[in-house]
Amino acid sequence: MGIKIGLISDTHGQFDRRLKSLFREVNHIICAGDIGGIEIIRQLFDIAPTIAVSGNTDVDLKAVLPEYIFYKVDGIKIFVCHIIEKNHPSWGELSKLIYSLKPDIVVYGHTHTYVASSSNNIIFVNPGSAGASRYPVSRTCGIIEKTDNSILVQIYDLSQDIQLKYWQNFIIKDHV
Amino acid sequence: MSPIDSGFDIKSILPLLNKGELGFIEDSKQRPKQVSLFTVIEATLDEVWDVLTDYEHYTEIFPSVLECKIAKREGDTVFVDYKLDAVLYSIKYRLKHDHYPKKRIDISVVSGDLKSGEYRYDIHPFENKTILIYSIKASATNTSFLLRRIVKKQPTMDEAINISTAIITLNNIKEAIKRRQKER
Repeated sequence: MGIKIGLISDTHGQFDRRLKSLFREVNHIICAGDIGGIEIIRQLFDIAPTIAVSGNTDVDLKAVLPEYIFYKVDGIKIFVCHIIEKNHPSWGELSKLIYSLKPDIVVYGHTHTYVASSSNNIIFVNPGSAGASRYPVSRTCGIIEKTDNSILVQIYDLSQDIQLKYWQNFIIKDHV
Repeated sequence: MSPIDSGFDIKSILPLLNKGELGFIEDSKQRPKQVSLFTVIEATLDEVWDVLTDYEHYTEIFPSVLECKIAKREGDTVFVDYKLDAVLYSIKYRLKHDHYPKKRIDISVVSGDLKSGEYRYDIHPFENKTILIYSIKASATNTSFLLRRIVKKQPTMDEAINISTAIITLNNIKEAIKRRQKER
């Protein structure tokens, strides 16, 4: 049984109680910013240990949360930040940092749109927004599961009944 | 103890650090895991060094430090006695600060209510700015029975607490430097 990691971002102060059930088997949770209050972090910690970064709207939380986190768990190197946008002014420096750290997975948020893609042997995952919807997109979150030979990224729709909305399996030999 | 090997040219991340801190968590199966936080300060190396070594004014720099007194100096090593606000009660301990002038400070526990812990500042000047790295390898269970209860329930809380502690410490240092710059 491989490691399972819950992914959540852009909660903007809204905690969906059903996450307790969805994330009940995860080893830890990654929260990719725009959290909307320390209470959300506390509730995530009630489910599982949580790694969190601040987002552009987390003005108060910047005093206690970093902008970027890099760590390794169960052989996977993970980089977490809030904004990954190729048109963003910071992308040049950020891409240099990411490609020098060579993470296996980059988790980010900000766009409120889920993404699971691979580029230069790095898996980029945006779990979408789990908070109140500001755009005509579904509320979503994600789970990463590492098995012996793959990393499975699953995106769950939180709009009504929780449903698996999208999944993609990345073969591990290319990444880890 | 050295900052977690980042494997990149530290100056190359300076523009990113203007947005916020970069945190590294040690890849280790043992606890406590070391965390290292990188930040950039709009100040010269001398200004940063002066605040880091101004133990007589630590109570003004760090709000959680209730008392701070230099016990003795031995060359570049300074022994400092602290009284720290540990939520609901206070703790007393002595730390040894090994100075590597204007490069780094290694800090270790000597005696008192703190049982163990290693801390370190690394300082990298770049033009008129300074990148400061603060590393912590200590368990939060050392400082407060409340934290001890939390960490006992969830050991990984140690890293979360240490990351936040490091950011608060770095912000306290930044604020102190800003105040001194204004006073000039």
